[in-house]
Amino acid sequence: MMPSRLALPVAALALALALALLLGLTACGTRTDSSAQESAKPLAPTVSATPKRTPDPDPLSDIGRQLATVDGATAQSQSDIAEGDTVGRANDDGP
Amino acid sequence: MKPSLAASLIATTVAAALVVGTGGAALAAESTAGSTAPRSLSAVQALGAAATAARIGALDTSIPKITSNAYLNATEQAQVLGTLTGDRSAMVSLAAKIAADNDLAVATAGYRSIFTGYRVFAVAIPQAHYAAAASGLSDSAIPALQAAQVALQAAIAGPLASKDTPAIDATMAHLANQISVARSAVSGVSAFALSVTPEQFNANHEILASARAAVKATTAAVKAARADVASVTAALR
Repeated sequence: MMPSRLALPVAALALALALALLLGLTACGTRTDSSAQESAKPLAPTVSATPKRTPDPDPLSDIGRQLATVDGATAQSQSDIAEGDTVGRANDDGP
Repeated sequence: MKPSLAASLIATTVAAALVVGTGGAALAAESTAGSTAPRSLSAVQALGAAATAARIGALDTSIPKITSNAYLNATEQAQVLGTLTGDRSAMVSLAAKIAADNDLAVATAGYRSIFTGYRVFAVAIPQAHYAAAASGLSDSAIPALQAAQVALQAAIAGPLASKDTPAIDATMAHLANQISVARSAVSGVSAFALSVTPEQFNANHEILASARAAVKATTAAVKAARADVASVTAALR
């Protein structure tokens, strides 16, 4: 009986197709869930939601420069006084 | 004083003394003998040449120093240089005039004006340096101290408040006082020093003493204030 001989392969084929369809659908569903999960993931950890804090500037950072100015001006002033004193001691009374 | 300036001044003083000695004797001889011999005119001319050259040399030493003074503002630097360059031009003109004089009395008057009319050694150069000293402290040192004072006050009131102590507060009060003393001491000193004339010096040889003393007092207050700034800065570190 030919029809009965073909019935088993056809049934097997149909079962295989059904299984394949089921697996395919399942895979699609899984992939969709996976995509959804991926989109829900936070952004790369290197990107932060809050800006980085810059360190506070040193409130005393200019003091050294200001003291150097004071030192230079004081030294120059003392040099000027010495110069004036030295020249001022020269005889300027004439005949 | 730098060795080169010292050597220069000693050399010019010795040279001038030798010439003054010779010329002075000549002038004295004329005065007593009433002579108008031509040799006296040449002696006066030699004296005039030496005296003006010594003053031009000293001015040429001072002018570059004032020019290169980085602590003066442009206006005050120009005022100080104006005194020195004005006297230098006068010395050059006077040297030429005395050298060209044919009359002993005129040459002698010109020679004497080197001293009584200009006072390059006694007035012009000292007044320029005292004025420059005062201006440098006023233009640079005191503003720098005030800026440091403001920075320290802001630090103590803000980010470094936890480090404040009564000792720091006392030093800050001393700093404010010394800045005030310096400002008061130097006020008007540069202008006064530059205003002194040879005529004023002729009447009062101590006319520049107050300007010099004020610069010294200002320097002392600036140094004390500087020590306060350094002390507070170290305590806040």
